[in-house]
Parts: sequence; structure tokens; C-alpha cells
Amino acid sequence: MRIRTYARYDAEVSRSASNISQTEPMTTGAPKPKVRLMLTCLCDAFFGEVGIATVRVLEHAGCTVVFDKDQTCCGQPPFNSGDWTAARLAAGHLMRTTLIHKDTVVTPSASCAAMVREGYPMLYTDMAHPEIFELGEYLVQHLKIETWPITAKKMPAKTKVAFHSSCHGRGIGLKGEQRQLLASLPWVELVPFDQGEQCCGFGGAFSANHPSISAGIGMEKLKNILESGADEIVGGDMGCLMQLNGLIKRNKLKIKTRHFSQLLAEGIGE
Amino acid sequence: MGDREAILTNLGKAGKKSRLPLPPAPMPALTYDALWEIFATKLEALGGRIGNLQDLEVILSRPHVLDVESATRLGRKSGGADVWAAEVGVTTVDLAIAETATLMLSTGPGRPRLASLTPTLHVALVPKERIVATMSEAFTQLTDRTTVLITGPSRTADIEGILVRGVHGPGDVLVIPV
Amino acid sequence: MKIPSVEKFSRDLATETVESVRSASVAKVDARSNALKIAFDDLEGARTQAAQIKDYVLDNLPNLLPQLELKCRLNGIEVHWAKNASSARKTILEICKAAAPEGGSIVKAKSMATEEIHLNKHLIKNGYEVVETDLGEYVVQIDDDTPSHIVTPIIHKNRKQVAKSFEREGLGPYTEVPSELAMQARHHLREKFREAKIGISGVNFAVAESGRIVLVENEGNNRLSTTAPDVHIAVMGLEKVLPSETDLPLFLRLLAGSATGQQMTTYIHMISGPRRKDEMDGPKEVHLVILDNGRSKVLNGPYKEILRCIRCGACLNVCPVYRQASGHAYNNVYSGPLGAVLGPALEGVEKLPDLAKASTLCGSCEEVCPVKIPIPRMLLQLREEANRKGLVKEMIPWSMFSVGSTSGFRWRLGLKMLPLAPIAKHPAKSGWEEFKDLPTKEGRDFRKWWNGRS
Repeated sequence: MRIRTYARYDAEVSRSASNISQTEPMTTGAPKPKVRLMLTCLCDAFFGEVGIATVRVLEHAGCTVVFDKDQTCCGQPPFNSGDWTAARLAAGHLMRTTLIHKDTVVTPSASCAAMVREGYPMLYTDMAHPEIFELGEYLVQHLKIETWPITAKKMPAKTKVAFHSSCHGRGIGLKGEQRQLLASLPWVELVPFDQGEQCCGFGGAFSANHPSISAGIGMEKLKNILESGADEIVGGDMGCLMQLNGLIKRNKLKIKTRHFSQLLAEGIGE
Repeated sequence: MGDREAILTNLGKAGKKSRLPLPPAPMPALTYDALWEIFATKLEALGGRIGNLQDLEVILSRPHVLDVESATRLGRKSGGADVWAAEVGVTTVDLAIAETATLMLSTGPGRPRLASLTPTLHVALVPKERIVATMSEAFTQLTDRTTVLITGPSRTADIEGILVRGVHGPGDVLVIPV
Repeated sequence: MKIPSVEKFSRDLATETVESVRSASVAKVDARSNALKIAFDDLEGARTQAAQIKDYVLDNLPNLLPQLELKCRLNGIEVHWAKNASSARKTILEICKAAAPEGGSIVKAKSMATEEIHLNKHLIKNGYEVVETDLGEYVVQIDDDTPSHIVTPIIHKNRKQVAKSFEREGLGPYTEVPSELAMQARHHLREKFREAKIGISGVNFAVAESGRIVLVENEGNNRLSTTAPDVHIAVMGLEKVLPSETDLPLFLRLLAGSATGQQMTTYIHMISGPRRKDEMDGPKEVHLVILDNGRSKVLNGPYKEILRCIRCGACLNVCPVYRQASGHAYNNVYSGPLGAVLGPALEGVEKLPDLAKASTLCGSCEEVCPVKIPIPRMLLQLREEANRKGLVKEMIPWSMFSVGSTSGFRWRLGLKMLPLAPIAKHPAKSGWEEFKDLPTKEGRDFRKWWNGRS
């Protein structure tokens, strides 16, 4: 089985990133980059606002967004559970509906991006790592957006944000792109908290078949975040935020969760 | 089939994989004095001490054991107390390694293995020019004798992660450049 | 639905134990990163180099092991081969019987390989008194417990528990001061070192080129166990061989930093054979037992890289699941992410089918591993193997999922039925709901919004 390490993949991503910026410069008059959205099943089922915010953010960054209505799920849930037959069926469907077009594919989830990049080559032994980008990664590394361009006339209310960087984000080699974009929003104050890199305890099916351990990990995370005095937890993966939100509601904690695209979208004028 | 043959059969053929060369050892760049300064800082951080020969006067009034080389150097008789009863063990070591405050001590004639281990205080005499910068450099001078590398006092953190010195070996290490 | 073993264990765990494990693990993770930052300018490069040397070893064992055997014999070390645990126990017992036919004390230094082959029980059954001499292992032994961490065996206990055990065993007056407890153990075990005829240890590294056994420790009990008795028996997993002495500094520094946050472990004992004619102490016999016990099988399968492991325990300390569940939850000598792979790899997925599921796949184990073992990848492969062989019952019916995930029409139909979910009964749902509220649909529906735009 041919498995490439994250580190080597990093190098390739940065190489391809420099190629893209050369061929598709973000200048006025140049053709708009066409981006195919991979919505993710969680945004499809529960968190429509995150999908909407992602489209608005990409369009604000100058992209034309395409969405394939027959798209379903990347196949990570069965893959992580060990049913690779079911995972191959889902992966095959995503390849036929979305990846086959050879457009740039962007998704508001590092976890789903990791599945496609690192998981698919485990499912298909002769496969190279498919190109798919996490939203923040695409905005910063490819479109070279360092500071989020704000066009909203009214500044949103000030908010103290505890930023949760997801484990899969580290896994695909994100280097704080989401955080960087959040930091450029003048109404956002990023607050540090203890054990910042710790997992939220979600782990897909793990959260249902190891519920007490999963909740233990999540509560540890929330305890550290609450001590920081943050108003909300912002992250780039709805899996993590769904996990934390489930615990927040059950334990009636005073904090909310949002996807970072929702904060970026607040800065866009009508 | 014996276990040896069974295991080697299971292992199959050796691969052809070659290996990356280790990075080359750096050229010596520091004077002896500079190396001793590093050694002392690192040793003290570990709870060890640097001393001089005058310190030995009082120390050797306690039950002690001396290896031959140290005894010769100090003009005393080698041996001494039973190694299990000695409170102090004096040995001359082969080398000191500055980067980690490590002592390299090999076995041999007149060098009891337990002298640096059973007492509560280990006194290590190190000839001033027998200091190197790195462990890699020290390893080029290994002999074929059983050798121990000693870095600071014996320690444990098994109980609640709290550091305790001197659990089985010496809790006190005194290094004397000579 | 059967509760997975690690989850089941963690549910009954005392809050006190979870807190002991958690606080010690957090401290060790911090110490590790500080130590390695000082030790290496290029930590990434050092880890790559170490992984590469280990891969070279794993590919060249058929040459390296006979070379080690030959060089050891030239040094006066007797070499024995053991294809499995029972063979190893038999060999070791024979050496013991020859050295001390009338029984007596055996002092033992901490060794995972001897835990793996359940050596102590066997020797005790055959009339020997076996005394664990590492402070933590000693506590484990007198409490009839098992180690819950490969480096810090009593990470799950606090000082009060240790104090009670020492008082019960008559080591001295009750005290909760760790240094006083350590001194009580020192005095008690000193006598054991003096009287034992046999000392047994593991092996951290064995150098093929020089025939030298390398042991790494902080307390001094390992040196005492392998120096004071007349006979020293060292038990090593066959993957522990290193080609050359020049490889050692890299591994010693990585191990010290990763395991205990030190620049160098206190004692590195490099044994070149028994006492020579010109020496006054040291063992008269040194035996090296080379243990296979499933390793050659692992070497030729998909979990080969787990044999790079140098037993530093960094993956345990950093693992969020280990911190909640403790090492005993893994029901195996090796715990944490390492154990979740090495356990089933050595013993077969059939014996430990659900262990690989005890992970969020957060990847921090691979990030801290000094030899870059791709643990998450292997956990996924183990899950696949268990599923393929029908060893675990899936909570979620993935064939149903496939029906929905392979057609846009059926998928959208499924999404329409989602509002019915709260009244449905399903083990996955009840698992989620035990400690967390179910997610609810928030705000607008993406597809409605998208369709409304065009």
C-alpha cells in the first residue's frame, strides 16, 4: 500500500499552491476561479448556515461557486468504523459527482478534506492524493488573502473567541490559516486557553460507542475554554463543534459555537 | 527445528534497504574551560555538584571505597569499606560529556562496578582534559569493556511525578576536575 | 450492543484515578516538548533519521540478529532464542535452575518483554521469590496490580495509596512524603539485591556490531539487578537490535526526551559481557534471550512499523483517550495508542478486536512519536481487519448508509426524514444522547437556499 506522509504531502501542496497562484492571478479582469463546493453531510443535514456562509465567503473572495446536487458524503463515517466497502461506495459517488470535474474543490471541513486526501489513497491502492482544500487553506494559501476584506457597513458586535483548531486540520498541514483570517476581523478578540491543541473527543462513531470517554475529553476541553472567558468557540470543523455543542446544551454552559466562515460572512456587505 | 532456526525462517530474507548516513560529528569548537562551564551548569541543574580536592578531606572521614586510580591520585590505599556499607564511592571516570553533564565510566582492573552505585555519595574524579562536547564524540572513545554513562544523581518520579533523588543509586554526585 | 472494553473499564474508574493519570500525563507532555527543544536543533530531522534506522533494522534482522549473536558470544554472553512466550519461560527457568537449584530470590528490573511473557508467575510457581525493584513496579507487585503505563507503572496511584501499601507490607512507619517512601523502598530492596543470585532485566537496545546490551534507567535498580547477582538474564524483543554503536546517541537522546523529559537518562548501562578475570565484581554469567513471540509475523504484515517502537510512552501521555481511561482499560500489557496497535498485532485481532476503536484518531500520537510510527493509519487498518473478519458488531448499519450515500435522490429523501430522528430508537443515538444533546437543525437549509438563488 502506498501511503505518503503528511509532511511530504505538505511539500506537494505548497508546490501546487505556487503553481495555481501563477496561472490564476487574483486581479480584476482575470477569469474568476471556479470552485466546486463539497458541502459535507453535517452541513447538509444540520448546519445549512455554514454551507451558506461558505458560499458567500468564496464569492466575496472572487470565486464562482458550483454545487453538485447529487453530492452525499465523503465516506469517512464507515471508513473510520472499518467498513471500507461502504466507504468505497460513498467515495466512488463523491468522485463521480464532484471530484471528476477536475475543478478546485473546497470544503468547510478539514476532516472531510483529510478523508479525501489521505483516506481515499488507503481505499484505492493505485490512487494519488486527490486535490481538495479546506476553506481557510484555500483562501490564504491559494487566493493569498491574508486579511479578510470587510465591506459590511455596520460593524458586528465585539466578541471574545476561543479558537478550536481541529486535529484533522493539523493532520492535513494547516498552519493557522483559519485563525489568521479570524484575527484580521476587528470585532474579534482571540483569547488563548490551556491545552489548545487537545482533541474535542468527537472522533465520529467513537462519540457514540465510547460515550463516557468522549464526553470526558470534551468536558476537559470546555473547562479550559470557559476559564479563558471566551464568549464563543469558533472552529473549522462542524464535527468538533457539534460534539462541544451537545455537551454545552446538556450541561447548560454559557458559551456558543460557530464555524469561522460565519464570522467571515458577517463582514460582507449586502 | 530449534527456536533459532524457526525464528530466522519466519524472518525470511534480509531487505536491500540501505540507510541514511548519520550527520558528521562537528569539529571541536570549545576550549576545555568552556566545556567545563557547560558541564557544571548542566550538572547543577540536575542536582549534582562540582567540587575540588579540598572537599574530599571531610568526605573521606566517612566509610568509603576508592578505586585504584583515585587512590593513587590521592595518595591513599585503594579499597576501603565493604562496598555495601560504604557511604562514599570515589572513582576516576574515563570521560565527561559537557552537553548533558554525563560521566562515562568503564569497568576494569581495580575498578569495582558497585563503587559508583551502592554508596549515597558518588565522587567522580575527572582529569581536566578528559572532557568532550557531545555524546557522539564520547562514543568514538568507547572501549570494549562494560561501560556506564551517569547523568546526575539517581532519581525517580514514580510517585505522583514528584522528583526524588537517591532512590537506589547515589542521591548525591560530586564531580571533581583534577 | 456490547460496550467496547476500554469504554466499559473507564466507566468504573474512580475520579481520583482519572485525575492522577490526567495531571501526570499533562506534565509529561510539557516536559517532553521542552526537553526535545533543547536537545535537537532539527527535531523533525532527528525523528526521520531514527525512523529510517529502525526501518533498516526491521528489513535486515536476518543479518543483524546472527551478527549480534556472534558478537555477544565473543563477549562471553550466552545467547538463547525463544519463538514464543512458553519457550522463553522454559529457557529462563532452566538458566535459573542451573544457577540456583534450591530456589531463592530473583531481583528484577523493569521490563515490558518479561511482562509480555508473564514471567514472574512462572518463576514463583517454580519456587523462586521474584522481587520487582523499580519503585513503581515494586508497588504494582505488592498490590498484586499490573502496570498501567509502560514508563511510569503507577501513574494511576497517588501517594496515599502507596503509603498504605508500604505500611501494610511493614516497610516502615506511615508517611505520605514521596522521598521518605522512596527511602523505605531503598532500604527494603537493598537486602534483596545483596542476597539474590539472579537478576533479570529487559533490553532497550542491543548493538549488533559490538555485541553490547544497553539498558536505560533513572533509579539505579536496573544497574544493581544486573551487577550484584552472579547471573544476569536479559530478555529482548528481537526488534531491539541496532546496527552500530554510533546510532546510540540519537536514540538515547530521543528516548530520554520523549519518555521523561530529560536530556539524558541517569544511567545508561552498556554491558559487554560478564565479569572478566581482572575484575572484582559483576555477574559471572550473562544470558541474552532473543524473543520473537509474534514479532516475525508482524514484520511481514501491515503493522510492521509498530516494531519501530522504543517504548518511550509519549503516545500514551498525549492520548486523550488514555487520559480518560488509564492503561488498565486496554486489557493488555501494552496500553495507549501503542498498545491498541501492538496488542492486536502480536496477539491477533481476534483476541482484541475492539481495541483499535478506542481512539478519536486525533493523530497526536503520531506527532509525538520519536520514530514516526503512523499509529492512526494502523488503527484504521485494524478496524478494517476486524470489520472484514466480522469480529465486531457495528453500531451503525453501514450497508444502509451505502444505500443513501450512493444516490443523490435517496440521500435527499433521507435528509427529509431527519426531523423524525428524535423519536427513532437506535444504539448510536442513545450512545450520543447519554451525555450530550442531539444536534438540531439550525437556521436555514442549505439546499433550499441554493435552489432559491438560481
